[in-house]
Amino acid sequence: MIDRRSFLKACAVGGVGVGFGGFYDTFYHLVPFNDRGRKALHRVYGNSNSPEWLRDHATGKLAHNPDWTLRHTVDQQCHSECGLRVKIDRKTGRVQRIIGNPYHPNTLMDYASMDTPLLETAARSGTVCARGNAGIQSAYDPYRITVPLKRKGPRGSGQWQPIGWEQLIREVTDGGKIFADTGDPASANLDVLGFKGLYAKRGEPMDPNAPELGHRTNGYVFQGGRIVGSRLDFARRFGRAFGSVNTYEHVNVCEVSHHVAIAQVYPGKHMTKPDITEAEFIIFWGTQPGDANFPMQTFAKYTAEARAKPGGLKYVVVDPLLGRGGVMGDRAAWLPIKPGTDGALALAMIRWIIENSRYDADYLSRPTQSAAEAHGELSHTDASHLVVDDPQHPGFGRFLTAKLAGLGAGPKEPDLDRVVIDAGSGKPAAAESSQQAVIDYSGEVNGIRVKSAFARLRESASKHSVEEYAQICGIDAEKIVALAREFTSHGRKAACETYRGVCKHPNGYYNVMAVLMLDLLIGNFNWTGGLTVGGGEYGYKSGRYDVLGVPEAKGLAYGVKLSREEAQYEDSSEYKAKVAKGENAYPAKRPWFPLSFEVYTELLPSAIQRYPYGVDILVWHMATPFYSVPGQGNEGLIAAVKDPKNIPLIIACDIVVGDTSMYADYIVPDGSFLERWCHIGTLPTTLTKGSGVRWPVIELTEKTPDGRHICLEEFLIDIAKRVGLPGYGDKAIKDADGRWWPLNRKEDWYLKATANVAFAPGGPDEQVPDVTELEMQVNDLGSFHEAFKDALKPEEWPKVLSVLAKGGRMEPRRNARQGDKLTHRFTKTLHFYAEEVALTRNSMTGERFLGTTAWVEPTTALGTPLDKLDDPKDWPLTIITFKGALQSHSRLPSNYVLRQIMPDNGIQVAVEDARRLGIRDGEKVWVVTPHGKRKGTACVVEGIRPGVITFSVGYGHWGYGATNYQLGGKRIEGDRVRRAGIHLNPIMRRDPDVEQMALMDLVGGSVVFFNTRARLERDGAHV
Amino acid sequence: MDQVDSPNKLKTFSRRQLLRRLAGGAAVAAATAATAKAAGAQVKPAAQEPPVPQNIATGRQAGMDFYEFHGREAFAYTQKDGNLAVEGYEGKRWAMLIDLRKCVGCQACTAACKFENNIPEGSFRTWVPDVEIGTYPETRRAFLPRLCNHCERPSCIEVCPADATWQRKDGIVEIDYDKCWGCGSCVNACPYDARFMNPVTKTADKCNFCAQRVDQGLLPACVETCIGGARQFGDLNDPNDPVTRQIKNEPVQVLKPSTGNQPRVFYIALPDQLQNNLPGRPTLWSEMFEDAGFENPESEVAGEWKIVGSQEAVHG
Repeated sequence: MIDRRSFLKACAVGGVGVGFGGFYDTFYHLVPFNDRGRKALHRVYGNSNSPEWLRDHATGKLAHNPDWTLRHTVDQQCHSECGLRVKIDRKTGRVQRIIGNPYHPNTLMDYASMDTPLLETAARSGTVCARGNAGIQSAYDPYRITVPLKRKGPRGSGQWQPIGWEQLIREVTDGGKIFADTGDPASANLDVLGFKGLYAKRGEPMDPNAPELGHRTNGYVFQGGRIVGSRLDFARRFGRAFGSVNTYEHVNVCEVSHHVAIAQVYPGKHMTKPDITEAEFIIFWGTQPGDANFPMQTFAKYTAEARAKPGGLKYVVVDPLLGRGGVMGDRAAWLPIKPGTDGALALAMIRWIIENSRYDADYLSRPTQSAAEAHGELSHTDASHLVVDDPQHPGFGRFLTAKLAGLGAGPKEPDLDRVVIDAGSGKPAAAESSQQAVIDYSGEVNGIRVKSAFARLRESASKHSVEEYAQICGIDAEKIVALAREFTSHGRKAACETYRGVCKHPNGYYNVMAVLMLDLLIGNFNWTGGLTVGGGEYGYKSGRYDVLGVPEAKGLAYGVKLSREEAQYEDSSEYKAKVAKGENAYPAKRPWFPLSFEVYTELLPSAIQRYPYGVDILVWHMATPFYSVPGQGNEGLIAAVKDPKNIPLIIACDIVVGDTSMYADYIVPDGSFLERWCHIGTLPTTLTKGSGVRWPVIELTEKTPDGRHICLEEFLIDIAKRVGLPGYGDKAIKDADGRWWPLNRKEDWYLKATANVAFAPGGPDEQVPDVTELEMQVNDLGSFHEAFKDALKPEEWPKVLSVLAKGGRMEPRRNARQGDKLTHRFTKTLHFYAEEVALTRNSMTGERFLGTTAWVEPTTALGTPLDKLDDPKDWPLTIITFKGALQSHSRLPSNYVLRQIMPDNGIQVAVEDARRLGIRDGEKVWVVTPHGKRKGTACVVEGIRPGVITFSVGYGHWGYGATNYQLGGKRIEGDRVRRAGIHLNPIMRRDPDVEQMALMDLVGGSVVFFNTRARLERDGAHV
Repeated sequence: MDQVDSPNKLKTFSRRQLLRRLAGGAAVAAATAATAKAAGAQVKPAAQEPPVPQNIATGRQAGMDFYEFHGREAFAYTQKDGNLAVEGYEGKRWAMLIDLRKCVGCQACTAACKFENNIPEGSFRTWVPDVEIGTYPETRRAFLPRLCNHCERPSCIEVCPADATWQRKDGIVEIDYDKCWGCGSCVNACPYDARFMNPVTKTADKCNFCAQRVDQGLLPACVETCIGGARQFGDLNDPNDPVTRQIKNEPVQVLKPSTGNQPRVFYIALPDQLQNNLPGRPTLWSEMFEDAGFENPESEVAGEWKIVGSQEAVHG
């Protein structure tokens, strides 16, 4: 026993628990013999579930056990969107088990094709991770709310009154003095503009002096946390019909800069993933197999398979933290990099690769897809495309066009109008006329100074020596060279995977861009073992029914979004007025994000600051900015949100009284993911095409008077109908024949989207077979069909039910590859040079962003280097976060199984730092940042770079059942299990240059999670 | 065991207690809600019994509470299986092979086992210690899935004074929950810490390879859900079984070979450092709370509504 203990101390427990001895005292539960417990259900099988399939011992065949219903839906315990087989007790209607759906590609290497009979999948179901297994507990959370709540007292006072559905809809729609009954002096006399009142202003400009801000109805803002696929479209459709552009999901709190960078390199695409199972070498940057990814379990599954295979995958994890990827054996290696310096490491590799000619020169020399394909390539880049390099020239920063080059009119398609130096003639030529072009060119064309995209990257990478980069990123030059050599030693069977750790920095976009360049240099795209954008999805938006269109509302919703994303500051009336007055227009009051999208973190502070305009109605859906957004859970911002004058009406739609929804005026109970609809494409790790369908396999909320279970959709539908919005009620959805269909309940919409998926075009082996009798029985679809019979045409039902019975529609796995080529390829020009970025200005400094990536120092919005902001002498540590296998966001405190495995997250500290500070494993320490301090349990580990501390997200709740509140006179006591652990987001670094804004990447739009400086202080009380 | 201070203080309770409790309500989970007559996707209950409301929460044990709603009739189907549950399959020898190269440390098995077997709070039949090996920067992560080894020569059987534990013909070491008194001798005897006292049945408890599934031709829950494909289950008496073939053809190890127990859970790529130094159970659920900071009075009165946003806070 003693040996075991000391062993554990020596090797320090990593992710599970936080280094608590870990030895189980087997006598803990010993009881006197006369204290007999509860009799087990079966003498041998104990209290286990009875099986869902039973064997006929005569024939050896499996048959369905009629005690159970099995329904196939899609998980949302994270954004992996894995297919589920949900095991529901027919006697009680309760979910007792969640299993993987074998028809879904996330859950099995060799998933079942759509035509596989259900019984054949009985003995080989799919897999699902711990969070997926634990999803039952998200649905049956003891703190679930199932009826609407209205605050009593001021916002955030923790007192709630259950109210009826009709009262909810009436009050928020009609507005008026709806808070008179709250007893809150600050809002009792407030005349609130409800949905109806705001909609009445739909023709009015938000600001007569700034027509670009759109209509007054932009004052309705929907801040969605996790909302994706068709559910997001349902919310957007409402927003557009209402006249607002402000419907958001949470992407910039997650990793938007990596999506933005990828979209610059792979136009219009937001994710690339390695073909993991066939790759020989992968570098995982800022993520690792086993941690959150798209999708986490498939990513881990493929990596596990690949690294166990003889001659299979080797990989390197570039991350300050040794996560689940850095396993034993010779297949994995760990490079603990300094946080936020991935760009420097990538640029050092680029420099070495170019100087040593380790790139695929022939591939890069093909200027168009046709030239590339004629030479056996599967993609092409802009390496040889020329860019105007003369700052005095009006076209500075743009690709040189045929016209500018004096080559006559170019192709009409601007993306194809590029000029290169033809390798044969050595002369400028239109890209489309050249089979091979010079990739490294600087010179003049038609009197204009130009440079090729490749030359620009070479020069940028050459700004520092490999040794200087090594200094910046904290990895020895020899190791950098070895990594670059290895990466370029596997032909096209190598790839980079980059995610959160690389992009959640002020320089995040440039970091990601630098990593993406490495893939271009080896030409791995579209190849087996290389890189892919995935197989795509079966569209739900149109086909049989136009579920998105609301023709009568066309043109109503327009203008600059509250987040100022996808809009240029320089186009604003504000900018123009300042320029007209001869003032310096920079900095803008808050940054604009022309290159980014879903800049969720800017919504609250912008609304409070009324920039560019104020907000009348805010809906939080699964949104918890105070918990999730760095720096936002602070007294100042919370006080501002609590003041009803700033945002008069806040409605949360949540399954519990959450960490942020506790500050709302109303809480609309939502369904958990097991009670929801959503159509969602498979993620690009999957090489085949597919769409999962999430549908309500149980329903737990109270019902509306007319019998619909309360949830987000029914809330929006009933508001729309009471306001009189077009697109709802009896004439709402148009089918392909021009016939109108009603939208009075969520199924009216989602079933039509399902029909679109079921009937979307596809090859002969992608067709959806009709539902079988057994599937109807096992999935218990009879009553479902009966209830919604009139929502679809009769001929559509057999295929729609078939899609529901399989939890989606998937292309067979055999279609993934064609030999060494991937089946689903993307053939647009891949970019070394991001023209759009080069032409965009930083709204704070007025400077142009960089079209070619470079090592960029992380700074505040106005350019103060972070070392100057918080002196490393006082703040020697940097906080990073991670999303491990058991927690990846704010919504799992109800998952007690996960808490049993890991009750506390702790604060992970390197052995070297702990020794210096005299901190022992398991003792209480304070994490101090410039914005406050939090106490947590020190977990002293070897697997973290010294100078870096980290915590898993998901712990340290104050809402979500963690603390007490009053409910209609009854006291609901919080559960301290949910309070356990440490959460540092609220004290993360805010940018001194912008009010209530965390540090941000102004190019990519990501909020910063990994650049807060801190120090550790021992807790005096704990010796 | 720490008791939840939540709206429905539920620990173990009868159905009657459960229904009575509903009047108090879990948050707003009203007793009348969501019965089987609901429209749409509702699952129909068996006709003869009054339906159990679906949205009741059984405290922290939701999903692991199958036994709260059922009696012995839940296993009525076993009548057709004869004595299979007790005797097991003649001629088979079940074994598990865990390829640690494929283990990603995700704990899916740990969780799936809890739900499949309705394991009480704080107990585990299988668990995955997660340790670091080596010093910075040459550190690596290792995971070691643990469960009952279903040894060829188990040390837990002969110590049982109640004759309540035995080995089936197919090698599965079983416990008779009707016979076991809960003396704990077997718990002590196991050199692998595989057994524990079940606080609900007050008997010894442990992994039985999900015999209820295996006997129907299904896989144990942990194998079925293993996302990396590390856990495999097979019959050692079948030379063509992939598990048997791998055990024959590849280097495999067992834990603590010196015990002489001859475990029938095999590992591929078991780190030397772990073979005889088994890391313990993943957590100590009850003691953990002390360590997680609950003993700190600050956290109990941390001003309920002031935790968020304050300059200093202890969440614990």
